[in-house]
Amino acid sequence: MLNRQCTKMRGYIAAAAYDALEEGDQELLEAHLRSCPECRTEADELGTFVAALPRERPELGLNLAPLLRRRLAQEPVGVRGWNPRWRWALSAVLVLLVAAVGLRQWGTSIRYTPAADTNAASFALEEALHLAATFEQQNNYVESYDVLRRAVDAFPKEPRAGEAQMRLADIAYSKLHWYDRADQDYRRLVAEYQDTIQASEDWGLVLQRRELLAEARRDDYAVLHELDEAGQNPTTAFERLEKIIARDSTSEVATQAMNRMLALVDQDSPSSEPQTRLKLLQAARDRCSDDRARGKLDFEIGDLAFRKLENRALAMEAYGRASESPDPRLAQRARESLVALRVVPR
Amino acid sequence: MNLAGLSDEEVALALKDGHEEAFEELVRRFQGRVYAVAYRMTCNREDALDVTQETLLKAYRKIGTWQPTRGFMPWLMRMTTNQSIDHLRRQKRHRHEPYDEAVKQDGEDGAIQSLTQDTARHARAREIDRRLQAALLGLSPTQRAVFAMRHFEGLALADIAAALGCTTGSVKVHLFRSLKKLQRELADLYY
Repeated sequence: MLNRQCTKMRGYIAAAAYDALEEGDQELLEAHLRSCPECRTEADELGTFVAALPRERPELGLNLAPLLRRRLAQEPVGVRGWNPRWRWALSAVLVLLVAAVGLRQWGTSIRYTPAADTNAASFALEEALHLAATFEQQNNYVESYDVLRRAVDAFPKEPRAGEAQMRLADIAYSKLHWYDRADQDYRRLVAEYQDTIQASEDWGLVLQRRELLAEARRDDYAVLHELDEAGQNPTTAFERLEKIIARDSTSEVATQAMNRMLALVDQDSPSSEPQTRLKLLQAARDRCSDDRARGKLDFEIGDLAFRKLENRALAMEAYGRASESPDPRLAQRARESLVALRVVPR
Repeated sequence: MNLAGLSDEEVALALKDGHEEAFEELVRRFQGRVYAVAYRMTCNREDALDVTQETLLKAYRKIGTWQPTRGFMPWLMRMTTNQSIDHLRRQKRHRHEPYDEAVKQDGEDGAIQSLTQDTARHARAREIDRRLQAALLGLSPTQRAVFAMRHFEGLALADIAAALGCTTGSVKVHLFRSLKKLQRELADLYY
């Protein structure tokens, strides 16, 4: 009779049919097969089946390179994302950075002093920020990131280093989608440049992204890439975002997906007037077919009604619906919110 | 620049570094594999050709976002499967054609290859492949992608996981489920 161990071993059996198990896992599987006749039969049959399946690869039979060359030649300059001309500008900044670090007394009237060094460092950081902004205007985000990163690494204590760090973290996250890099960058920003964050209008966004990245780190940021991909096809974007929300409706990722969903609903709205957040949430909820996703949107409606709109009746109604969500954690939160509503004086 | 002796990652790095000629080398090396996976995903030569072109062009445009710490093949396979899935959803059809049609070539450089040989062994191989291709339609896009990458392309499970943005544990489960479905569909051929 199959048990939990058997269920776990199924994936191993499939991998073993292709000799694709690592040594430790292979030993685990063999130990299990020695004691489980059902799994042994399964492994034998699956191995035989895999061995008998055809493996021929369908042949492309032509060379696509000339066609692709023609297509690329028809594209506007800059589509690729960077232009090698900017390498000269980047090199110039790097030379400046090196010169600023390596100032020495060379028989000139300029003596090496900490003040001079600081001025040079500040100047180099200013130049880096300026150059990075220029790269960004050209959509050359890789170059922009590189310039800022080198500048911060070279001059981490300079007054504008925090600004540069915040900028490069934003580029890594929102433009390049280098989530592992963005994770490190935001962590460094929070650890070393608290003053910059507190002075910034985007402090809320910084903290939100840090939470999101921490959550996404568990699966190697796969869910963030999934969010990106969900947005690439307009006809399927809503459904894909709904699925992401439904998977774990109390997560930060679900909130991100929900916000993107609201942007879609806004775009699709036939009205030329700006839509309120409440209207967008309601429209998105009505469009969802998954109960967990609807629960999430109801919870957000409840929050909005309670905390911003001071509409207690609407909040009660929305939390009430959310409390019936199939997601037990969301349902619990909604029930707690209902209790809070009853306790808070009118 | 002599690209022939470089590894796949080195050629990709050359392209990332601005050496435009590296793109042709990457196309030469990977167009067949991208097409093979796209074909198993879309079950249609015309769609597979579209997906292959779009994938390779996308790789060119997005090479700046590729991180050398991850292999190039998983990154490319990820694009291939995503393009295939998007293409399927746009087309909303799953027609497939006989395998021997898929290997006939009508491109500018192609030589004709055909599996239409008269031996019983080849006829049976063709039939099995047709049935397999039809059975693939019964898999989810993710299961189809995992199966195609493992069974036909021999990618390591870790690379498949990187390509699909999931764990190797998930890949193993997808692989098991796809094999079981195929086993049920093709039971009359083997048992």
